[in-house]
Amino acid sequence: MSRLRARLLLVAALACLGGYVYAYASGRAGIPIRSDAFSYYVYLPAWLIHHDPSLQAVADDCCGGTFPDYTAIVRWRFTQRWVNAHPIGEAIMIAPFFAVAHALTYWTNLSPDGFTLYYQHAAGLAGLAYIVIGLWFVRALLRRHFSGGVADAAVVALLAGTSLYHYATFDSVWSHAFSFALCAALLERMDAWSDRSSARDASVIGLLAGLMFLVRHTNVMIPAALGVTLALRDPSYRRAAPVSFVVALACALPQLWIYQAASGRWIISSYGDLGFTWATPHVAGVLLSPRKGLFFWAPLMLAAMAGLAWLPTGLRRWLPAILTVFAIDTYLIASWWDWQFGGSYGHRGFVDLYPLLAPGLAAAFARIPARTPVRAAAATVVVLLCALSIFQMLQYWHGVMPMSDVTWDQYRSLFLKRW
Amino acid sequence: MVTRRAAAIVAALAAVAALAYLRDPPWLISQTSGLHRWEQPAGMPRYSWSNPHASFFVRADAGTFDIPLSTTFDAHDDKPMMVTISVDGDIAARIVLTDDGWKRVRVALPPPGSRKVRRIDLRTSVTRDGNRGVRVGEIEPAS
Repeated sequence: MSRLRARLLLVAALACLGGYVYAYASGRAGIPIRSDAFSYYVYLPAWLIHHDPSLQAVADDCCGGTFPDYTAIVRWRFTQRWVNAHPIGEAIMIAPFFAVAHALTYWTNLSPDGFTLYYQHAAGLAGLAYIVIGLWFVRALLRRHFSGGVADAAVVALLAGTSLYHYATFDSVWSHAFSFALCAALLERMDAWSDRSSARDASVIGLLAGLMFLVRHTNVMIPAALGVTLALRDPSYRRAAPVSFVVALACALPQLWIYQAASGRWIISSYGDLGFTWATPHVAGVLLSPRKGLFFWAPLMLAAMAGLAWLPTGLRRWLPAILTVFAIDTYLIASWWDWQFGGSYGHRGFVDLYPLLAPGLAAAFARIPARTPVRAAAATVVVLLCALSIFQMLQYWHGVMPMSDVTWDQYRSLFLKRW
Repeated sequence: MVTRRAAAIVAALAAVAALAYLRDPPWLISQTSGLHRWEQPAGMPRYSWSNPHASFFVRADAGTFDIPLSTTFDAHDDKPMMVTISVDGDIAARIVLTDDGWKRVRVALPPPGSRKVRRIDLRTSVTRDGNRGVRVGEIEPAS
């Protein structure tokens, strides 16, 4: 058992790889770069193969000059240039994997267009790798404040008991794997901040914050909330914060330049007429409903929320920031016109926040008294919830569970139904 | 220390072996991109639709062969379509489709090199509904 725990992340990586191979070898998942993933990824072939940041050359090569509707890439009304609703951060994070795929593509003589076999799986495996990297940071953070056993149990429960495994495998090129890794790294690095930290540490924080903005703009609230918390609590970070801010701003500039070049404006909403319904948010829907409710599809997150009340002293300083981010993000997600976020296993909008909830999950686990029947019962429940989550995920993969709009009656009729 | 060195040597050897395998892997001949599934409506030859860019592989010793091509022409979309065919990235043939009849484009492969297969890319100048390029029939040896 101790040897297994020593190699926990390797085991987690192999488990994810097994799921990934199954999803694609069985034909359940199609190709990795599909739907939203296409628009996140498309910058790489545009920049590195066609040398055309306007995206037109990719549109010509892949799609007869016009991107299909599902891509969320639209011609800006006033300039007729392509504006992509999905920003550049994920493509930047995939770039090292893309470079290897590009070299291998020439080596094997596949078509070097950015979308053939190696590019597809380089992008898919990049998402998987970033989930594992994120788990490494979550584990490092938790081990600083909890026993090794509690930290490892929380990491395993986070991966198997939520939709995280799905976003490491079946939908690994969606932005959530990348945001998860960045959020985990940011929280861990900020938590590790001390009087002895340097400008280099502040730069790393700024880099992570900038990348978070580049992957998903609304996630900028996470570094903002955590940064303000750290600056208020720690005078040494207050002095270093301008370094983080300047680095983050420098990271954001290329995105702003792309918006300016395509639309003539520095800040735009590229979703067109699609937008928020601020007055009628579906809060109950995104948290509790069978359609996509966070706690319905990942009940372990209820324990994580409860555990936030029992955070150890060292982590308690983050509580206001975590609750603020969770509340604002819930309101944002619940106010989006398509509050289910289309097809997804569980509510994908919350995957980015899992690292913020991981300390709560560990605190809930740590709260259970050791060597008691209660612990055995709790462990049994956690294992069963993880098994249920994986089973329901496989139902989703096999088309038994619909991609969206699941009703309570439908859920009951499909409960534990095999494919 | 010795274990780590041995692991590094094994990893390096595995990487070299993997690269040697991927230079000319046997599955490459069945690899395609940008081609839809095969169809055969009544009275038509078997074909698959291409995207604006599609690729597939042929045996390096295939010599000279014909690729049957056609596309749709109807009232709302009757633009002529130029189809460019490349072998391993070098342009080998071009054809302009101006009606919906099947045309055969002849491709002569260069002398076989070090690989068992050669890559054929098809690019169309325009597309039809559903991001479709041309119907690609089954390759036939040149008579």
